[in-house]
Amino acid sequence: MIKSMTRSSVLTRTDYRSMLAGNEAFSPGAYELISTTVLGTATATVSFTSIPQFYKHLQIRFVGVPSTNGGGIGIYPNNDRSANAYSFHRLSANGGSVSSGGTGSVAYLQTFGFHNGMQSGVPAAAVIDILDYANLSKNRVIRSMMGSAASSPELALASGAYYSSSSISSLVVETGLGNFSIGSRFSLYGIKG
Amino acid sequence: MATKELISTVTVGAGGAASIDFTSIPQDGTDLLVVVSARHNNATYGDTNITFNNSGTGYSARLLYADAINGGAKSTTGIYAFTTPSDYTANTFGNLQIYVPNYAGSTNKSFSVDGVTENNATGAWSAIHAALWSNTAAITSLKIAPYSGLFAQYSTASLYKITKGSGGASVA
Repeated sequence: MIKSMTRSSVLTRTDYRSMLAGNEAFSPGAYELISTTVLGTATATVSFTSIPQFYKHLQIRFVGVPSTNGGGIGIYPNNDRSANAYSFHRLSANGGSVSSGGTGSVAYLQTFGFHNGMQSGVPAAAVIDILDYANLSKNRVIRSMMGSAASSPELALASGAYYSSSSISSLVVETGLGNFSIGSRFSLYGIKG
Repeated sequence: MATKELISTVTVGAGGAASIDFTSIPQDGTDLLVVVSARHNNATYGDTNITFNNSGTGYSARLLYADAINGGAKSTTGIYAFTTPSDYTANTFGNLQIYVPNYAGSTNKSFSVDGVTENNATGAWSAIHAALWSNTAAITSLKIAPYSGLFAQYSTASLYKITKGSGGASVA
């Protein structure tokens, strides 16, 4: 038998016509950080492994300092070093002239280092886009914009293709000479599409 | 915090497509980004046209371009974006990016285009543009089309809206 009852302490009530209940709608972004590596030890090679396969595109952003003069940057999807696995081309400038070049049927994909390469102790930066990395109906094509403020500077729009029917599940970024210095940063992003 | 949102992705099916079109572009963003992975069935020209609001006039650009053998720089009244032509290595598509700042604003629209093709050979075209559409209208549609021929199956283009963050101060 109920002998007493205390009234609710709710003093105000607002009715909503939407499940948002007055909150702003959330639009998930299309650009997500998968992984970042900041070097605590100088190294020539940085790897991204177990890359999720549900994005449409990938992007690598790099800013770093090389330890040696003259090195470039190579990209190896799936750490594939097979002969004839790649082609690459570039449009580059060194502060005095513009040049271009390219080659096919090679075992490496060079995206930077066509003129004088990077300079020891001088930062270099790059944005590298890999479109449709998980689409097995296409050879994967890479586009990169890279620059270095070296005493002999270099700026490049470079491209490369990976001739394989395998999806890209890992990426290796490697300098061809010396190491990337401590503090160099490599970030891998997934882009929805 | 600034955001990058996918508006739409178009993928070309069997039979190809004369163009990839984005229409009814939302006007509540700050910048537009289009990412294109495309190939077309014309062996002669790699050129790809970009138009806003179905307008064929008012375009100009300065560009650096090269085919890895010959190259140069020029000023032009058109856009010479490249997608991969049919005589390049099979199943190999171009990689192109179009960035339009302030697309919904009331000023002329400057934009950048950088794109590469790829080919398992010495030559492959690439170009980087600083471009201008001399039109103060907000961009509500965008079309990408090969100069000649059709986009091949599996060509794809994704349109993103980038919205500026709400932080920061205005500087006079």
